[in-house]
Amino acid sequence: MAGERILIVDDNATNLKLVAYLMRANGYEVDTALHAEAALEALRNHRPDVILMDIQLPGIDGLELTRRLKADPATHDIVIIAVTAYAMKGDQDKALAAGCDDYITKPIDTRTLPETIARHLAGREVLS
Amino acid sequence: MRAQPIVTRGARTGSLVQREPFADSPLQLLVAEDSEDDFEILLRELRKGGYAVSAERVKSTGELEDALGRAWDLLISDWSMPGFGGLQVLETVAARGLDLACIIVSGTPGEEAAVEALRAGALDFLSKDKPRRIVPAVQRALREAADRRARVHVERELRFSEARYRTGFELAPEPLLAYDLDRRVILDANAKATGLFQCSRDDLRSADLHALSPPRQPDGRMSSEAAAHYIGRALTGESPAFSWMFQAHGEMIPTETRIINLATVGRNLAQINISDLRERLRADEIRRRSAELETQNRRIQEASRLKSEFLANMSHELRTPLNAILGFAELLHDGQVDPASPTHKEFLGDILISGRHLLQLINDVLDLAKVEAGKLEFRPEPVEVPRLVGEVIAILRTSAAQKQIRMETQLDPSVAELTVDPARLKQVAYNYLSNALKFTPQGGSVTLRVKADGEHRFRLEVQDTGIGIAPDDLGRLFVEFQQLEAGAAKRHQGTGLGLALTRRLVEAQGGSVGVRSTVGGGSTFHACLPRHVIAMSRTRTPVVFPPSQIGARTVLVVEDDVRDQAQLVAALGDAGYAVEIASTGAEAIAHWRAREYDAATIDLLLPDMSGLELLAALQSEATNRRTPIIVVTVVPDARLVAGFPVHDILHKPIDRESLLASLARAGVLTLQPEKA
Repeated sequence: MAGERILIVDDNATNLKLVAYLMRANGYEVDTALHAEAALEALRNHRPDVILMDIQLPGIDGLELTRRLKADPATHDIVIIAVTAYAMKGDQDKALAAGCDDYITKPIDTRTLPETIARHLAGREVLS
Repeated sequence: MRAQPIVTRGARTGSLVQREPFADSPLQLLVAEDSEDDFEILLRELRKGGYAVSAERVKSTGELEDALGRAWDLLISDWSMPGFGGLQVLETVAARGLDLACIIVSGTPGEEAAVEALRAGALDFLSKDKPRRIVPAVQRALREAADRRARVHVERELRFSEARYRTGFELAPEPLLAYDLDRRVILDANAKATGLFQCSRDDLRSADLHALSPPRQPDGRMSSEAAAHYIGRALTGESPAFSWMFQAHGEMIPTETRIINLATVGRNLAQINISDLRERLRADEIRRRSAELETQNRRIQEASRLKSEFLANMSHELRTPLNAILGFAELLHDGQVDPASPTHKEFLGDILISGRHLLQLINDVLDLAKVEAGKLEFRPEPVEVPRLVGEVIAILRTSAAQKQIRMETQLDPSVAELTVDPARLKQVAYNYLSNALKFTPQGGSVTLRVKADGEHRFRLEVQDTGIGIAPDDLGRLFVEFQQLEAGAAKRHQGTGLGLALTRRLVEAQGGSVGVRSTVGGGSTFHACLPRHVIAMSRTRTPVVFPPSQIGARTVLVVEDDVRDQAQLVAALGDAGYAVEIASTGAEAIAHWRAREYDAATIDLLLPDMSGLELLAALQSEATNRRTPIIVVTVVPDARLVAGFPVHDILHKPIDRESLLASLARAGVLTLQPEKA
């Protein structure tokens, strides 16, 4: 799993820093984006294996960005995990309906997030 | 010469055409006469006089009775006949109720007989000796008969018309009054009118309109004058219609009333038609209320939706800083960061910043909730604007200096002294200023102005040279959690509640907020408030927890946190103290002034003022000068309250034993209540 690439999209710089640190500490190559445009720019440079997607973003939000990526054959099989502070009833359904592969609420558990990501990557390898 | 018809009616009442000689149809003549000769003479005379005659002679009562079954214009009867007489003829005609002109002729005329005949209904009494008088007598009789018939007819018509009118009046579906415009009195009232005024017809008769009305009409006019006005108009021939308020047994009766001048009657009589509007108004009222309920329902649904949205946003906004706090804390705690590294310190800093952000968010939310619940008290007091503004500027001076932003103030001397809640005005100024500093780039400037706004209001304005706001976004500015997108710099800079809170604080004091802005040209936020705010929120009576026994010592608990309040009340109440609670500094001061307490506990973190401000305020009061104050705080540092007459400092969460021990040391002892 080491060396696999993760794109973290979050409009909150502090949270971005936290997750980026955690992922690097777990051996991932990390790209970050504060908004959807930056995420698309990052995707042009490197194709990640996983995207950790915040939902509330300025401009194009995380749900819309997910829909676009899942509709595009070039990005369609990237694992997208919603990581959001929207934790009310129905928010998970919205995320999954938009095409997210998983849904994790903030505050995140730094001890289990790496495992969750690893599980998704392992599952993807089995499928392919 | 043609006959002039006076009245022409149907066959029911018989022909009423006045018979003149040469009339088209022959004169229908019935003659009671025993002498054939006399009959012939009579006919000859009449024909000579120009009458076409269709005559029939009867010689007995039986024949007469038969003949009277048919229609006749005239009856001429001999006075004396064998077994039959003129008087008998007249009586027979009268007995059958016939309106038939009768003339008596007699071969032996006498005054007595003539009188008798005329009394019995004859129109004339002639002597057979003077046949030339026949024609004029017939003419006269026919004329009289026609006149009489016409008179009867008119009378009948009148009676009929009156009956019809009476029935129409009486049975009319609306209240009607017959009214004498000259004497200004009611002459009559129909059943609906007596029902409307709930009194008898006699009570209504001879009353005037204003006696049935309240002293004044809803538009303020005296009822007597207003009624006189409309009656005057009716007298000029108009039939005025107008809104009129009647009154019956204390109940107001709104009506549409119309005075119809019955000029045709010859006297100045009028009919007053009253249309009772109560039912209609009631129906309108029901419609209005149901519409109101619908609107209210929609509003409640909208409020409920907003509340859910608010909760979702709240959850989101609370989780965001918590994510950083817990995440970094876990990393540090789990040893994932080298404690000696700068990263370690950086992450601690992130935890602190996020923690403070969270605290600010919670404070703002609590304030908002209080304003919304009407529980935020405003304590207006005389305020010197330059001093207050100076204090706010002082707080923000450092952050302004860091961004090299020039802060200026322009204070209009005419509004240097106001009566406002200083804490709340500071909060408004602070929110606007800190907002302006956030969105103004390095080297810009922020100006705070206080100026007059009309005679009774003032305007606090904060102008910046910041990025400005797009017109479409202006409406969202003062709405909770509606932070505008301001690029990557957006997050972490505010709770999304500051402006919403500002708006609510200002509006709750009878003011208004607003903003003018152009993209790239900076923004000017303002708040307009009364120069002298009246304490509008209801004065809350202190929450008192009755002592378990008479003569208990009373402790004032100044504490805004509900759970801490409950803990203190439980601890003190169980020990037999009476407790009064103040949730804000302002409330505490009000209670402090109102009575003497045996002791007070004070939380240093209050929503409206710092604990130190409160201590200073309490110290300056004339009441409770010897009351021991126990400060209850999360940071028990004696240096915090140095210089204030504080009896003790206790640590939160409150330890029941140390609280009671502290009170005991202060000499505020109470007997233990009897255990139930």
